[in-house]
Amino acid sequence: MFRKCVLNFSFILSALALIVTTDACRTKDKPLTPVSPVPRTKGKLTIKFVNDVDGHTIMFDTLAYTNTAGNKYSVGLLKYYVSNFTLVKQDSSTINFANYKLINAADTATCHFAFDSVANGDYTAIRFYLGIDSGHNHSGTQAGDLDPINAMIWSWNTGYMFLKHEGLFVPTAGGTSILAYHYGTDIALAKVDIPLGAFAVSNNDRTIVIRFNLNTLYSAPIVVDFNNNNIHESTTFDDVPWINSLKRNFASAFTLSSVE
Amino acid sequence: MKLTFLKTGILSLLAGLLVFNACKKDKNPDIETGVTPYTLVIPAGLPPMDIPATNPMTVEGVALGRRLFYDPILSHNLKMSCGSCHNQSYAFSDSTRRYSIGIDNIAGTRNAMNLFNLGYQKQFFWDGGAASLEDQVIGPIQNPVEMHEDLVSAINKLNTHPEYPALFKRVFGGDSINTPMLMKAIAQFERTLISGNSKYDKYKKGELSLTAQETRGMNLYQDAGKGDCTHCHSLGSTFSDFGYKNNGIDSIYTDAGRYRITLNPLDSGKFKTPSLRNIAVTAPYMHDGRFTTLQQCLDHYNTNFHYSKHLDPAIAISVKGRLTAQDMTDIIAFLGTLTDEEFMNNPDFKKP
Repeated sequence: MFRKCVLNFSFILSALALIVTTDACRTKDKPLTPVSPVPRTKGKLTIKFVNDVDGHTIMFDTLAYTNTAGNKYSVGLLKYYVSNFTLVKQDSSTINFANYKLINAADTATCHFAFDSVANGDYTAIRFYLGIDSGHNHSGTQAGDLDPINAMIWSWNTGYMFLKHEGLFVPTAGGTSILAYHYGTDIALAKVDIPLGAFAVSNNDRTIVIRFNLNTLYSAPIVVDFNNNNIHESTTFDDVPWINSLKRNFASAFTLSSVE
Repeated sequence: MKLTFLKTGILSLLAGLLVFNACKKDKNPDIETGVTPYTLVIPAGLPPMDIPATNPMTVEGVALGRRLFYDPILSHNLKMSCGSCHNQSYAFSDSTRRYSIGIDNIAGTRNAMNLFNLGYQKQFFWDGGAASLEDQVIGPIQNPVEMHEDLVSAINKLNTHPEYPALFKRVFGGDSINTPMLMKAIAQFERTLISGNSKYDKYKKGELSLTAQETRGMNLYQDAGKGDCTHCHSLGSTFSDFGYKNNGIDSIYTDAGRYRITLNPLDSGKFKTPSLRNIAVTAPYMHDGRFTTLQQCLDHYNTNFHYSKHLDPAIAISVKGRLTAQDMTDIIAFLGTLTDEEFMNNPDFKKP
């Protein structure tokens, strides 16, 4: 009798363990195959960034580009953060994804990302920020794209470089000079708002391709001349007018390329 | 036999529980990694320390941070560690050197700061540029005039080291070492560097008396018409407000100090108020180490400070020459009571 009890107890414990084990990872892991298929109410949205200079694919380390101010220049490095993507629905309600993404123009693998679960609906606009909001801009103990290993954080003044463009340019005086634009600080956070027209997510996989034209960043609406204006670390008061110019231009430098 | 069945059941249940807990590892890392919480011992004269919720201290984390603090693996040429310029014998400042020398034999432009009671401070570096103790860590590692290493290389060296991956995994979990883990580990060790058992602290606890001269010095220290030190260097506790002040050592700035961080013109020439604990062993003084003796510091505050529109108001209204030579000697004698020999010799802080 006692032995039977023990046996039963043992079985109950095992059963309990099994229940606990089965139950354990429900929220995190992929659900088990459902008995009957549940209708989808969501779609997957991929966001893709295409970087160019007036329609030309960026070729690195060649003095192949000319901005509106007439400066011939090259791109040795082009990296920037886009964050806090928001989809705007037809009824003006929004869905925010609270994400942070580092785009490295030299590595197309970094230029796209996906939101796996986007509610069905008709969307009219996509919004995001160029840069990192102040709540996340002053701590380097963040993993992933915000990990300081990406060399996009200032180590002497905790904060992220929102955009880094390094290269060379040809000054009016001749020769070549360094071009080093390290754009950042809280005042530099730039809002980008891109109308989508009619864009429906309906149980399907969709893609929004956003174009970043580097020359527009230096021309519209404010023309940026690299002469005597070629190194900006966002570190002194003198950088503020330059920050304000780029901040305005970001809104026009990002445009909708296509939807798929 | 009965026992075996019982055991099987219990083991199964335990296994189930373990799996269950594994999914909650963000909330309770202790169960999975088997780390022991570290309990800070705060001396009577110091306030409780706030530990950031994102970096709870563990015995293993502190030990890892201590090892990293002293390991030259973090410098590019494997020759310098944090401990190279932060020497325990001098309250973790750099001996009597005005500017520390980096791996490329290039000197910096500011004096190496002391390291103790760091958990009471909000920002780090002389200008407060590092937003937390964790964020401070990646400054000296990357600075070209200090350890001059890039983080990709530093993290790669740690990830390919025979021992570090397991040590980090135990403390922080994860598949590989990343920068935030490095920052957190060193910060954990640095928070244990607590100094609060000087002669002054023993006097406050009634364990011994100050000499007549030390007592005179302590009174002058607090006297608003004399030393007036307490405006910035509160008497007791941390002996600093850890604020940013322009103390008049310059009126034209080669180093704009706090302004460089805030871009606020009112912050021109402001630097962080250092603690006066252990001040007798942390020469030279000021952000650029220009003064080699405490007498020079007292002379500065008594007569030599420069007027400027950014000068701290408390100094601007003080009368030049208000301290006699004897007053200054007495204040220096009192400052000597702030030296914590136990801290300087604590075996827990030495190179492991």
